[in-house]
Amino acid sequence: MIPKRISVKLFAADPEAEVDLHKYIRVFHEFIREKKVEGLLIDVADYSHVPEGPGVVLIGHDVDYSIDLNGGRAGLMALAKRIEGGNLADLFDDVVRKCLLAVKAVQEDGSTGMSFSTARLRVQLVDRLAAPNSDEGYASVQPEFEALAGRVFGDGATVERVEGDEPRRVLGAELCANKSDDLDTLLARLER
Amino acid sequence: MGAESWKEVLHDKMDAGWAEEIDQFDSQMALRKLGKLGEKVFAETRLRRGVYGQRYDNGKRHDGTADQTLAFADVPTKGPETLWDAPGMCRIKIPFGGVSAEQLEVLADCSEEYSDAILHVTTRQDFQIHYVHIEDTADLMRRLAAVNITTREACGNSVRNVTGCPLAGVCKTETFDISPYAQALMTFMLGHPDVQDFGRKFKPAFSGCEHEACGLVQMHDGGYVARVVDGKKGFKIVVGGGLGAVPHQAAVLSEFTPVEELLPVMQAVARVFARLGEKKNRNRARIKFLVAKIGIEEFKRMVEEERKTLPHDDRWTSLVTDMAPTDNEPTAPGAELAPGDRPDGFAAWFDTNVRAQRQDGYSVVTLNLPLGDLTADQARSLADIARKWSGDNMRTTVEQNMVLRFVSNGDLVAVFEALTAAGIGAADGETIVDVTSCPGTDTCKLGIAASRGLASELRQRLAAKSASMPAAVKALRVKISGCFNSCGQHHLADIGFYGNSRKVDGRTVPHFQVILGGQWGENAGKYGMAMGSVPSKAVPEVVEALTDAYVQSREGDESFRGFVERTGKRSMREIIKPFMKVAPYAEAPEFYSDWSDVREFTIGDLGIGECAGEMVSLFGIEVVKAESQGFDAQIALEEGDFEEAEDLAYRSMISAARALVRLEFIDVTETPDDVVSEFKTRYFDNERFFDRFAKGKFGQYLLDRHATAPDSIDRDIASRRIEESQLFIEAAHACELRIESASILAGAAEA
Repeated sequence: MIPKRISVKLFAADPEAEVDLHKYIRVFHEFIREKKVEGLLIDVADYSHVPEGPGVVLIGHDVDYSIDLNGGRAGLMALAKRIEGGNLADLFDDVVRKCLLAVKAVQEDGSTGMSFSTARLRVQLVDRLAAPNSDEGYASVQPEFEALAGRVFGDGATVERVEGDEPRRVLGAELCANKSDDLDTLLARLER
Repeated sequence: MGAESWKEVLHDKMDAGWAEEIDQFDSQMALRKLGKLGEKVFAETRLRRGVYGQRYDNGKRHDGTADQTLAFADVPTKGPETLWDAPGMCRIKIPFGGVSAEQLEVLADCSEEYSDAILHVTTRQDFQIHYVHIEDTADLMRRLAAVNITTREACGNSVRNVTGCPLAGVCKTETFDISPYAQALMTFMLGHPDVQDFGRKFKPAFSGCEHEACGLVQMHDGGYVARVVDGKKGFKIVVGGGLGAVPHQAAVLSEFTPVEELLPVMQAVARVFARLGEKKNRNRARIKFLVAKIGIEEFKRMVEEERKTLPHDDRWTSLVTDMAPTDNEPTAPGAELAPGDRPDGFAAWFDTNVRAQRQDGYSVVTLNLPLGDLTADQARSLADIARKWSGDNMRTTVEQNMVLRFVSNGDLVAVFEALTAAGIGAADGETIVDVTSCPGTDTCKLGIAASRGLASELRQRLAAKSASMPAAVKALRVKISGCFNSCGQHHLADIGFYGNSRKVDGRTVPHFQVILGGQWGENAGKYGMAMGSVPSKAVPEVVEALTDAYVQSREGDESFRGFVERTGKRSMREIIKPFMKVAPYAEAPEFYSDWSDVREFTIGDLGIGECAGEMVSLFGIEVVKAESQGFDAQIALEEGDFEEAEDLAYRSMISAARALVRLEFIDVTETPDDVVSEFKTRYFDNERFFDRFAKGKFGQYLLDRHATAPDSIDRDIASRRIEESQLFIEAAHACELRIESASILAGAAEA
């Protein structure tokens, strides 16, 4: 099973704190100009007027990056959206890596004042045909989530299903570390 | 785990004809990829399926410092200058705005899986989703078709979405519920052979009332107002209305057409339009130009003759008899709103967002969607709310909102709490806070200025003052378009704006033309008039100044339009004049970028931003004369001197053309023949004056008027000439910018 879209979200250190989304308009335009994150980058979409919406989105061709406010929990989300086959583990690794690199770029910019927790990742398969949010669907992907958690967070990482009681939402899980490592450590683990 | 394809899963769950059409579109995409289908043919096919291009889909974008190439795959193309991989927009037809909970859930899923999880309600009750890849569109269509939604003819030169009053069936002032007839027209016209050969689109609208805003029929290509004569249901039919660059009010085709004649008459209208409407020049191809050209009486005669020749179609009557109700039964019995403690914010929300229905004990609840946007999660929550409290149904509105109908008053508190929990319980629906905007430069290829960025800023500022705002101000409408094409319906607003640009200090500055005094009521009864352009960043102060002046000078319960008319254009312009000036870049760089966009502003994504300089160009000096004449033309119109107004408007075009000519031929005389001849040779014939999208449309205004002066001049002709002259002057500004940009780029290349 290969979904057409995979999203990975790294939450803000205080996900309920107010985010100054307008600062990200400048940051994301600069990301385009300086090619600071991966992918063919197209434009910046401002949805700051939408409560708990996609916030500000750096629109790409193969991957979007957004300061996502969905569920009232702010974070940086990478959404791979032109997936056409491959190995699920490799695809997971690639989207997580892109998300972490984008977070790193935001932190290096330093102007937004936002910091991120490196102890929890939300991974979702945004494809209701290939990956329906059913018990059966989750069971088939659970080992992949667990393996990914191990690759990113090392020993002791755990996996929690999300939106399990809501079949209309997409299938996903949150991967949780038992300790908080820095971004470079997480990236280095993925490169091994 | 998952199934193989949406095609397999859904094939038996949709209309067989629709399934076949979508499969054909899938095949056409494959053929295009193989190079076996021409790009123009594919583009027309794609548009007729509601699949639009989007900004930057030519692979070029200015990043604030330089033009950049977006390295999309360049083979195949989706149409001329439209790259295959560039994201596009899908428009989804929602007849009369009616949408069920199940349909909304599928729309939400599609927005999440093919777009950015945002559903956008348009000013014609459609939904749009953006940033969609062409290869996802067939599955998107299948999923929608499985819940009886189509994208067919949402774009292209055919019959667009049939709009209708969102209060139809529950309104206290309507003659009867127009919804089933809107649905019948949609069913009959969709894919009909007689609507496949139009030169341009045809937008229909239904109203249940003559005097409310309702369906805004007066600004539509075809409008239908419910009437009952001698106990028989029918419609007053109007044709030839439209906004766009040059707005027209529709003319009456029939004071009363019985319901069983509605469809054949429209079929006859379609045939006449297809046969006689302009085909070569798309800028003159809307039905409004045909009606204006031949006159409504001749058009009416031709429609009547055409009607006699139509072969009988059983659907003329079958589609308008035994009609199923368009809404399900209410969920709960009607009741009174019980007294007692209310949650915070309920009173303000109730005041602006709740309207009593004709049916006792029920209300219509307006969802004030910011800029017409809601998230996929919010849409699912709304579907739950609709199932529980409003009989499963909702409607979209032309003010980019949604409404829940048949909400029992006894449930209003619970509905408010549920909407608030979902993030869609904002008050101030259909007030000055609830600003309407087209997509503008966010996603539209034609956008000049950031209408959504401005709307968002205004919404935020006005909402902060809403609680203390005088009722007369709160009741005003603000509508914004990113360009002159009026998708934001700026002509109908009390305070409207459309995007343009001006050169200041050697750089391009985003501006908005101020349009005041449009009439929303009477089905879009009157259009506002232009007052002058102000820099984009000054618009919030302009709105404040205008509303303050209204509050201070209002007489009795005078409407804003009445205030504008009584005050007069000259004095109204004095109110906005202090905001027209732009400080040099060094003093106020913020004026040189647009709202929600930090890039230095450019038009057409050309590299104007590097052009620093202090001098005022020769063109800049000369064009002031044209703008002054244009303004004087408006004054003359206001004073009822139509001949003078028309002549001044014409002369303003001559002056703007001369300003351009003098860039190259300093000694050109002021004789109109000389100016037009030089303009034609130097700018029109070689297409230097041509806009990328409008082509020669604006230049043709001058050539046509110069070639043929009108025999007699009435208010309509004078108004139209003024609109044309404003657009011509705008085009002259744009042309000068293009020339200068090309010069800079050439200089840079040489360097």
